[in-house]
Amino acid sequence: MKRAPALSFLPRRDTPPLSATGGRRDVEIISLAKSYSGPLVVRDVTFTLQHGEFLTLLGPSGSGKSTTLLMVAGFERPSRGDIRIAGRSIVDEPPQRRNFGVVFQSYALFPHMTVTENVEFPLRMRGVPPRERRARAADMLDKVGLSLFARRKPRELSGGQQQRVALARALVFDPEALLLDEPLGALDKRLRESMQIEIKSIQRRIGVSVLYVTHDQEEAMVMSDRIAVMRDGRLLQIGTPSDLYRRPATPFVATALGETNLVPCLGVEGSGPGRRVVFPDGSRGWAQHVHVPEDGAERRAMISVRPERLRCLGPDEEAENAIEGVVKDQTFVGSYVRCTIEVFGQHIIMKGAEDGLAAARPGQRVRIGWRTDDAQILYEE
Amino acid sequence: MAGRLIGRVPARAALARTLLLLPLCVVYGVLLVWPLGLLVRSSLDGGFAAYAEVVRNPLFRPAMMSTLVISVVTTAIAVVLGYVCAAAIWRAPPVLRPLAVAFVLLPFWTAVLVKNFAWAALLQDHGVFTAALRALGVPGHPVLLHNRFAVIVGMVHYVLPYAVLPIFAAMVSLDARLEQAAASLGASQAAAVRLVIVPLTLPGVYAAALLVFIICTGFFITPVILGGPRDMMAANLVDFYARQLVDFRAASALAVMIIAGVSLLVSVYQWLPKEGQFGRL
Amino acid sequence: MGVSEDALAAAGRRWLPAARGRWPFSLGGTLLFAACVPIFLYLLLPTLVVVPMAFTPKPLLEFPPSGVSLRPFRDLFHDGAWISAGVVSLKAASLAVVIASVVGTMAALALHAVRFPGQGLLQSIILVPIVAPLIVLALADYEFLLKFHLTGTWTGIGLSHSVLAAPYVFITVQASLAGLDPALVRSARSLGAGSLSVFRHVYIPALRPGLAAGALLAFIASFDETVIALFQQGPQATTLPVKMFTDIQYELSPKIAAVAALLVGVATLVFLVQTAALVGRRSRAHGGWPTR
Repeated sequence: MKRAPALSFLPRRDTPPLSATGGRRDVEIISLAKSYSGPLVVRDVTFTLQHGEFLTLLGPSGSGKSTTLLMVAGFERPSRGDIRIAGRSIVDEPPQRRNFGVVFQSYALFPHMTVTENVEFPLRMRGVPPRERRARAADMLDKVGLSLFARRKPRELSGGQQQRVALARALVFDPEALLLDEPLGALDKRLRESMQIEIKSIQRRIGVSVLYVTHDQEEAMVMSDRIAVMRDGRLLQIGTPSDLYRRPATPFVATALGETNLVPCLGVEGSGPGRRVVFPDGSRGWAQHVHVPEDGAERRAMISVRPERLRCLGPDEEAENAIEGVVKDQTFVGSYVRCTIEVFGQHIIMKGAEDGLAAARPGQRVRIGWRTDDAQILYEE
Repeated sequence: MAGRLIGRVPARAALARTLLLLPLCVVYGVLLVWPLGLLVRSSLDGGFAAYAEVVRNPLFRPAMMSTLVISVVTTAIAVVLGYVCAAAIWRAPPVLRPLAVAFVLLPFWTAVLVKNFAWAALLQDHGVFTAALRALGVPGHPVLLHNRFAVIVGMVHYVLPYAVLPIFAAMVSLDARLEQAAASLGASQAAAVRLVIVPLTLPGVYAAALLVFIICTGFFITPVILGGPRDMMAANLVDFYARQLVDFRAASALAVMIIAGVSLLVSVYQWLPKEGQFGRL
Repeated sequence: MGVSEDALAAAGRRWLPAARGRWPFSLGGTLLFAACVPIFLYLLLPTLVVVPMAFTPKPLLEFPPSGVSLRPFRDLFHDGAWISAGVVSLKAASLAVVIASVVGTMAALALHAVRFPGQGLLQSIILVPIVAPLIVLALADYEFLLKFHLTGTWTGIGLSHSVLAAPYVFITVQASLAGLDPALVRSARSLGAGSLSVFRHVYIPALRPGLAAGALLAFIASFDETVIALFQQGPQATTLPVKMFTDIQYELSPKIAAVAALLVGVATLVFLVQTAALVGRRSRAHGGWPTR
């Protein structure tokens, strides 16, 4: 199975495997690291792309998400770590033998071939006979809704259509997984949104595993079964969108997915999953304590509460937790009202239905409350 | 000053532009258009008689044939070698790239006569190459100089940079992702080269071939120094009429025919598919 | 998450070198570079043999030389015909460079940052002398200069060469100016700069590198040109290449090898100076003009 590296330049049968197992096996990424003769751009990234799932690597530029994808695809060689399919290491395999379908932001369609020829290309490389090739390409083009454009050249198509050709081409050979590197980055907002839904529905229909790279949190939320948030080459947290939204592990994850309020705490008391926090004014509140930093170093604590989880309390209303603040601003956004409230010298945001926030007029002192379940204790990174 | 300087006053800008172009117009008018006009006029001295005379001359057909054969062979060899060179420069590690470019551009910097002299010295009887051939056991008396072989050796050497540059330009403009895409779709390196890289660099190859062919048809020095009597090319025939026979009428007629031929080739070049036809990659 | 580097190493994962396992170091790449070695050798060969041949001690040309001597150079410098050929070449080339530089630079300035109908055609016309067959120009120029009794003079050769050299100056100056943003010119004017000071402080620095390179190319174009000079040669006007051309047909002498070696030496020197200037300019590019 394993080739001696010294002989890797020798010619070998270069026809990639035509797998019947595409998308039905897990892809394990184990302790992956990469450096280009300098600091590590990817550090110790470990996760498993489970078969059939849609997993998104989310992070700002320079977070190492694209590099991770390129290593999985085989275009970059990991400095350390392993990539395995069904337990078998593939780090020594060249890209053409890995059997992943890759879609680039620039689509990378072959400009001298027609749409059909582009889609047939991977089958041709796998020695599929012409008739079957044509049938499978036609079938796949049908699935992405481009049957009418089969004879066109890529330059005669719109950006969205080119993207769908790229998808069809990457899917037609039943790959282990689909790897998409910011595939919608070149499209305008409206088209991007419709393509998100389309890609997702194609993925559901075909049942292929997808590793998706984006910096767009909304895109990640809409499309993914699970999201892996990356920053500075590290994987900060991985989980379902609602997991990450409700139980972020770090302030970065909390702000990366949706809006949140980070209220500083002077201290954390107690043990177990629910703990007491001390606010700057000495008052106390309860919050969930789920993610404990592993290194045990002393860090500043804060709590994270989503704006829509805050409530404006009546004068005598009881709540699990409450703090006081002064309303600075109220904006009517349509389906909800957005209030800015000054608490402990900083602004926090509250969102809610119009009638629930009737009392929160600018200049007024209000009590705001939240349920302990909705507050997370986080530590500065 | 230049047009843009006085952008808000279009009339003055146009005037400035015209004034700046004036010296060029004068120089080109006096030293290019006028002489060429004289050339055409002297070729037409006595109607088309000179043209008929040139075409009917027994030297005409062999000279045209050798021009054609030598140019086609030189172009073919130069484009193949040029493709290899361009690919090597393209794929060279960044450190080695300038060195490779320097090698390819070296002939540009060496005077034509220096190159021809060197080839003549190398290929002459009792020169290094004949000695080497004899040492290798080639029977008889190998003659390398003053024949078509020597002419092509010298000409390919001269035109190789002209072949490399357009091909290299086509390669550089390729989207690197296309190759990655090919690999991810299961194409071996050989398949990616054959099915993606070569087809997409063909416009560069066409451009290189035509450019080299045009240059080849105008060769004058190399056939004289490295070739034999049978390797007289079109330009040498003009020289023969002008300086040996002192028949400027015939020489001019032949020169006009050469201009017509080259213009035809240049217009083919304009019509050739360019990289842009493939649109943005 | 957050495992230290040591822990990573301790985990005992396979360490892989950071080399990229793709072309040019695969089989195909190796073949490609192997194929290039003989081609590069072929390109280099004439330059390589000319220099040693020039140091032969014998009166006849030989390669490889049987010894080292300066005799061919001594013979060369005592030969009045070669010296005067060199002088004629220099004079003609200087005249051509001056005319070509003025004309080419002004034309490039005229076409900078403007668009007008027929511009493409004008560009192509300016470049015609580069593609025109030399034999045609040689014959036409000869017939033309004959009218003015200028054949057989270095002036005639220089004038003929100036048309040949002008496109080179035009191309390089135009490339230089392409890096000059027209917005910069407008902003200079909006700051109150007059035409003359805009020209001095904006255009001159921008076109200088292009002009230098163009003048050099123009010089080489004239100095190496043989066919036009051959048609116009006379007792007082035989250029270096023309003398080489006629002498080579007569005999391959060590003297010619010496001339060739000198030309190779000068070309190498010019090439090195230019490369150095280019590298220097690139390293200064961050603070200097956006010239490319």
